[in-house]
Amino acid sequence: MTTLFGTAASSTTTNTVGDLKNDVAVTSPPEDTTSDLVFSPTADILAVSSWDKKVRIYQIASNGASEGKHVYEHDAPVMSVDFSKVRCLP
Amino acid sequence: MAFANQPSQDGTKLVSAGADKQAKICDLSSLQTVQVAAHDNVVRSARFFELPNSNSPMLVTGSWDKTIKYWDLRSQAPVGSVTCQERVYTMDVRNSLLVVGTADRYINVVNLQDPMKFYKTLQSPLKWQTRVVSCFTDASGFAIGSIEGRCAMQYVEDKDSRYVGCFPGGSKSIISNLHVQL
Repeated sequence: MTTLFGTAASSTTTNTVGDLKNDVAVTSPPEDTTSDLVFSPTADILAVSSWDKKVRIYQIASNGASEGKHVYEHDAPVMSVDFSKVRCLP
Repeated sequence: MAFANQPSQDGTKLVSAGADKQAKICDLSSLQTVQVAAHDNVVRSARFFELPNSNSPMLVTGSWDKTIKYWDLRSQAPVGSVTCQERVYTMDVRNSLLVVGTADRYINVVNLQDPMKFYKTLQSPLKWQTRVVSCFTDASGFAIGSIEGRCAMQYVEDKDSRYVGCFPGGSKSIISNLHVQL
């Protein structure tokens, strides 16, 4: 079965380290090192923090295409991001 | 929005922590951003959590000022502050489990139902600086990643770590992020 991020349940044991051919780069990525990233627990939204002082929020489509949704800024490099969580049942 | 009836526990808020000594929350529906936390040094990590029997989300921030602080998002002042042995490098939360990794390889385990004290403190089983901690999805333990490229699995109630390994590829590089799926 071929999925977005490669072939699942493959019987071959080839080394996949360094194979980027099925990767999808986000559009308008950070301009400096990425410090943290997190997916929304409820939507196909990706948030990325960077040393360029910005937090970028992308809408991710099912084919991996990304669209910038929002960006906001700190006064210094951003170190960490986290989404509010879905309530866990006890 | 499909989850509009749930009080903000649905990924509608994003927190970011920065070297500008503050944390900000962005509301994803209104796209408004407000400052919610302040420290005396770089804020290295921020995590949402929710206490049992409470409807309101809370925030925990860890900083190079050697403290972790708890915020209820309503007041400017923290509702609690705990001093760590060293600068906070990484934190993760799952249910009531908070794990704080600091400089000098200290790992503090906090039960968020008793958040003002360390439930347990240990030294990382890894030789080198702690880069990241990541809770198991069932909150029974956590993974530790070091700058040497090694990873340890630690159960909260176990004295010893169960597994210490290298990631495939063999290169000794910094582990920046870990995600544990049991």
